Amino acid sequence: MLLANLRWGKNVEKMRPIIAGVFTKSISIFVIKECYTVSMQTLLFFLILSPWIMAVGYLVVPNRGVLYGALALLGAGGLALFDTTTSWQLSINETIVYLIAFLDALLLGYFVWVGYRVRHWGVVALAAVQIVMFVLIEVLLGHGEGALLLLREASQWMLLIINGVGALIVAFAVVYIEAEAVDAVQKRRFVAYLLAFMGVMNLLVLANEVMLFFLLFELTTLASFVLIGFRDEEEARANALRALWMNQLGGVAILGAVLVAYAQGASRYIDGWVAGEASLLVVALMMVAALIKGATMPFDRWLLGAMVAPTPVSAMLHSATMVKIAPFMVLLFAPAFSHTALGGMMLLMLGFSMAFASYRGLQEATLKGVLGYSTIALLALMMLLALIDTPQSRTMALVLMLFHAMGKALLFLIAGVIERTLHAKRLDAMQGLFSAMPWVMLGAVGALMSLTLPPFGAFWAKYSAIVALAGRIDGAAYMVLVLASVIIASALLVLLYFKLLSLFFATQNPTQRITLSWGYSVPLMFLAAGALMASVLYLAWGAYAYVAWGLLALLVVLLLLVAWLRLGFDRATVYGCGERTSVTWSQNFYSFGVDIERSFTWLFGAMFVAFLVMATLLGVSL
Amino acid sequence: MKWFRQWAQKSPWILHYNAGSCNGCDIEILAALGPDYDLERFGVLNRGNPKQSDIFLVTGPVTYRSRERLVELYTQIPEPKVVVAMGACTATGGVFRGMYNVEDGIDTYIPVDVYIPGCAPSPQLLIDGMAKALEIWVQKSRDIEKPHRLFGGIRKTLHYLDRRTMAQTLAQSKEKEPQ
Amino acid sequence: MMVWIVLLAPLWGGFILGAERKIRAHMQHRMGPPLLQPFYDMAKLMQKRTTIIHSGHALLALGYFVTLWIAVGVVLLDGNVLWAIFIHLLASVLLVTAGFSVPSIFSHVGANRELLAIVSYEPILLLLGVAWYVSSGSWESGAIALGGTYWTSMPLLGVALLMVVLLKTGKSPFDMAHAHQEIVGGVEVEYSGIFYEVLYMARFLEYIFIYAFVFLWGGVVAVALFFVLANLIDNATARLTPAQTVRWFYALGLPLALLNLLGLVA
Repeated sequence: MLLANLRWGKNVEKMRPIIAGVFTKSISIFVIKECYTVSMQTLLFFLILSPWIMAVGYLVVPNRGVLYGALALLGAGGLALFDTTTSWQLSINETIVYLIAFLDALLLGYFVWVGYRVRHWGVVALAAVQIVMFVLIEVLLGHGEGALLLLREASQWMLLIINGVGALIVAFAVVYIEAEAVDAVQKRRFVAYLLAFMGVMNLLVLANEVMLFFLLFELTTLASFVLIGFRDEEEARANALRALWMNQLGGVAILGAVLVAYAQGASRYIDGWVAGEASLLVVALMMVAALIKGATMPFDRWLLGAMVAPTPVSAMLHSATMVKIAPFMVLLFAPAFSHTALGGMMLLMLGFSMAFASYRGLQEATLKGVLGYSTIALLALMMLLALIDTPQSRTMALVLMLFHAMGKALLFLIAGVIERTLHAKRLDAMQGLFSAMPWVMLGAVGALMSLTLPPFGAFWAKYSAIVALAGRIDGAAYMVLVLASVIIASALLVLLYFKLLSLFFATQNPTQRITLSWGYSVPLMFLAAGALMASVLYLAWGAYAYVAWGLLALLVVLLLLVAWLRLGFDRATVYGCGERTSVTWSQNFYSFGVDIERSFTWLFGAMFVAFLVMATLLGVSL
Repeated sequence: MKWFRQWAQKSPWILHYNAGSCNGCDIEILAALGPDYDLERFGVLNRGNPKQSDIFLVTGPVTYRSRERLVELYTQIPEPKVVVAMGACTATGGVFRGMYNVEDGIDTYIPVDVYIPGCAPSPQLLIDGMAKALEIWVQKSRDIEKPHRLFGGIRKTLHYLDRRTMAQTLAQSKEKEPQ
Repeated sequence: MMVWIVLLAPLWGGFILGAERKIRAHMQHRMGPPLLQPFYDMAKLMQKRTTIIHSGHALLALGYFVTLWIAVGVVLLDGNVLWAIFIHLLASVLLVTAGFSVPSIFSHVGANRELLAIVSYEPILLLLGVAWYVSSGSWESGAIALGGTYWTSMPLLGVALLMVVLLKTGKSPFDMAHAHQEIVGGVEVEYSGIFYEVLYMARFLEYIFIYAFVFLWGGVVAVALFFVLANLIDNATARLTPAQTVRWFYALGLPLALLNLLGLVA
């Protein structure tokens, strides 16, 4: 049979050159040609340094045209790097070690000062603990021989996501922030922060020396703190501080991991740790940092609090940067502990977190809240795929990261557009938006579908998660629970997304059309086109080629059908029992009640503690 | 396609509307749909949706409040459609005739094809009326102008040519006519 | 043979629906319509004038029908069961989108209920697929069918599957999505003429799709048994509210499926 020939994942490796090839050669061919002629190392240094240069440049000369050009170069650089397959590394030297130590000390001092300024003693205490641990590490630990920076496969994907999607978000943010009620310098600083954030991320996904990794990890914390607190309001300040201390916990966990690694005689290089130098306790501590960054369930509050920030910040945090560190870290460390009991415990945590986050999203009343919980759920899925650690599931984790970045960025930017044009944040104020801005809403519908349904990448991730978990189910009864929660979560996510979709259509009277300025619409178009092309290319790769052709044929048929329908049929009004009254729509929130939610929170806390206890026992016994 | 037409008339779906009836007629309709008379054996389904109905089965004398709904529902039924007025009130107003809040039968507002007399009509009468309504439905579906059919273009072109020939003939005959 | 079943799926589905109306009528001491009644209805709907709300709405109905047909093809032609379920999900979601895309309250309520139905049955179908994979080692329906019937190894999943059959074929007590008296058919409410016909035929396909799963689970005997049982239950019970339906599926169907799966892997 024809369908029986469709085997899964024959040509995983073929995908990257195809996506990259078509992107690079068709979209921005002349920019890329420049990049091809330069060496890999130059390209990497360009990616690492140019966001900083752009940030400073925009502070000094806020020229929008120049910035757009530079952003296009940056995105093209990410794409060009994605096209290559060679590995690359940069060895460590004495100067850089001291520089890192100096910057670490500076950053921790700044945290103490921030905590002291707002009298938040938790931040101060955490920073103090970090300083003590940091001093211990600097005194005790020699730096040895190893790679400071290392280009891995996952890094290439991350660089594509950060620079490709991130550049579009920054391009959007430049226009978005114009309407903000702050002075011109603040506006420039906002854009500069976003760019600097990209720079930090570009370096972070390459870092191999753990103190550099810690520095960058805490720098993303700092960047998110500054950006969340950008609107100088009570709530913004409180949420920024919450994000700060929660992520500082992650920093403490990383320093703890370094100390434990030292006690057990391991080096300070991540590739060495993964190769077997480090005990499970070290890996577990790194995973704690990942779980906090990824806002996995007991730690979800900082990410939801981040919604008070201007919308491009949410887009940046959710799609291109920050939270994507979590699946990236799991991808790095999964080989070290995937098949241990600890890995099983973490799978369970991630599965439950995914299910509960998608349920919890149903009760949110703001668009950004719904999107936030859906991010948490999909992040858990990414980490889960990374943790299963088969070649196929690793690739699918990366594919999901890419598709999620594009889809979520598109949705957040649309939320930003709605906020700017209609001044609406709550879902009930967004009823019937489809008639007001049909194209934008079509993009939103497409993005929502791309996050759940075939034939988009997020669906393939969901599918291969089920397949991979079923492959490991034999003899492991707890895997049934993980599987069940992934399945339930995917059903709940469909409900969540289509609940959103229903609101966009819910009106009887067509409202005034809203036109968007090109500064808003062009990034949206690029993201939508990118998501669409990536899905078609993904299908066109290898065994799915005929599916792609079938889709194209279907598209042609659909267009013909639209023409036929437009010409051929009379229009009727909707049925309303013969009445002609106007109706108002309301939403469902599908809640089981607060008690159950609270008990779930306790469950997640208990699971987290159990994870730590397990890690300690396993780590000590090693 | 004779068999096709015959098939088409075996599936009358009804939209039942109570325009202020005392519910006597409605109970009879339910009785007719029940096991004893089993209207469904003729393919009758009570759809409750004008857009998918063929027979508009109205009971009641049309109260003042219900007339707008009556017309609205009637217009929402796609052609071909048949209106059946069930009971004395629906035909003439019945015992309510002449009251200040009653419009004395539905034919003041919409064209009626079949009147079923009685207060209330028995299920047998209803079935009889349905049979009559179906005859009319078939007739209407033959007569109806169908603007959009498969191969409608060919039909339209032929029709156009036909009309043009007729017009030419007419013009020629007019020319020939002595002043 | 399977190719013919797939290619003529609406035809067979029509016969099943006709037979079902006959059987249900006899259960209620009625004569019931003739066996070919669904085809009479289709012929009638083709004679009617078609009006649409907007072209996207009509188009989504066509999309639903075609996608559903593909799903039926995948499950019957030895395709991957998971794929079949997900393609079926895509089809249902297209229908839901159609329901939401018109400013009609009944359509919106119906689409909401359709969503809740998806949330209820989808986990059970997926768990059934996983259970088949665990016991037969393959996701392909051909290999699953070769593995014999699953009466003894998956009895609890069979009960859960019966619930799904009731829901998917619009039978009491789980017929909230198509409740005719309450919400005028829900998502279908705004369709007329040939587009309603498309939805009508799609219902035939839903029958084929879900009974294909029953066939994989327990062969022809199970199909016959489920068919009769579904109609008995339909005649004997009253409709549950959407919330009650979801509760039944999550409190009874899902635990049964999970227990069965646990028993298989442990």
